[in-house]
Amino acid sequence: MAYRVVHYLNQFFGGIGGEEHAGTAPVLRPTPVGPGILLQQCLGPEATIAGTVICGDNRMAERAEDTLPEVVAMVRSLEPDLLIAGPAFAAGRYGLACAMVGASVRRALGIPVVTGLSPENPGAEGLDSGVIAVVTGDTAASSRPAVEGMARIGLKLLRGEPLGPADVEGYLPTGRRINEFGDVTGADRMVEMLVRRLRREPFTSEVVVPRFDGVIPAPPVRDLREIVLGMVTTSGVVRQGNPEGVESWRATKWVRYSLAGLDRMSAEEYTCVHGGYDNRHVRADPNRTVPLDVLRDWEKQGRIGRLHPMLWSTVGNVMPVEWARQRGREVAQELRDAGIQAAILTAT
Amino acid sequence: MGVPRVLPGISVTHLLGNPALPLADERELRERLTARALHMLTAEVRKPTLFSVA
Repeated sequence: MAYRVVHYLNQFFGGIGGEEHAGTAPVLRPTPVGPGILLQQCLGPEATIAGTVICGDNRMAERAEDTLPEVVAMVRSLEPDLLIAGPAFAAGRYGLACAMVGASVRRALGIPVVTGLSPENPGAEGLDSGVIAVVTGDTAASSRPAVEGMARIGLKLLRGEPLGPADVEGYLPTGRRINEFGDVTGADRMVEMLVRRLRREPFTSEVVVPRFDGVIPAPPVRDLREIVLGMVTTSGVVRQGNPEGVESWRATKWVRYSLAGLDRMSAEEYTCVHGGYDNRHVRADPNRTVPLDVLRDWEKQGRIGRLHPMLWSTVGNVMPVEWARQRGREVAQELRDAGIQAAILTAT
Repeated sequence: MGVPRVLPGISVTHLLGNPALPLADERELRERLTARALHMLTAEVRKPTLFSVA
């Protein structure tokens, strides 16, 4: 029996219409639609498109919380072995929709998911590591290679065949590393790479260097006496006994403490669990990374409008950039929700 | 790292303090650094900027 595949498309590729139909609610078609016809050809007899779910990009972007469950229910009703979403090329809302649908279907049904994105598509950023995104061009002019690639990788996943490295198979790196034996030692490879570099020949690094985003600076504070100031730290200050279990490295969480009514950080109540530096000076006096003593005085003197009672804290030690980005987003949202206009973040 | 306003601390192990100083002096040092940090919040920056304790 052939594997069952469900295909996800937006309103445009699903043949409903352009931007004026971007609000379209999810609909289910029992056949391949649009690029699904080529996809079915590429899949061949081994897999059958059991149905197509079509949804407007704006509908998904603006009402994901109720639209995603609708889409997942439609996908589930077709009892698929694989979901293929897109390709979305460089289309931002469509790419994000494919990424969200892919992650939701993986979580709900546990089946493999393949999508197709250009590397610059915003859907590629923070993509669920279980969703395989075939690298596509920027526009539908590159449909054929995109769909062929998605079908080829989809069939591999259906058969349970291991995927090769991202650059060989043509998908976006998922961050997974697989150990393998090489013929040449690391020392030899390193020297070889250096020699190539000195000769200005092309070489490929074996280590992916994390990319640091630029952050657009916030406009300056006009008057410190009118703001609510927030305190954030990655120095690993936690409550005595570390009841939340913040890890001393590769921390998976951040914590939030109320410092209301406290005039300073006391060593009886607070300690430090950061495992990346000798933290005894902070344990002896946590004001050394959370300057509550100074800020509280200045709040009383009216030098700053108000010190927000909460401290947001985590351990920044060996935190992968991707995690840090996510934690940063979460804490920034908290600060915003708390009405904080500016914050001091102490980082060790 | 892309952080817009950066002030170097005294040391990784005591960013805003110095255990070698008498308590009153250490407090004064922390006030100086914290005042600088607050001042930085009022400064216009267009790209990641390293300030000094000045």
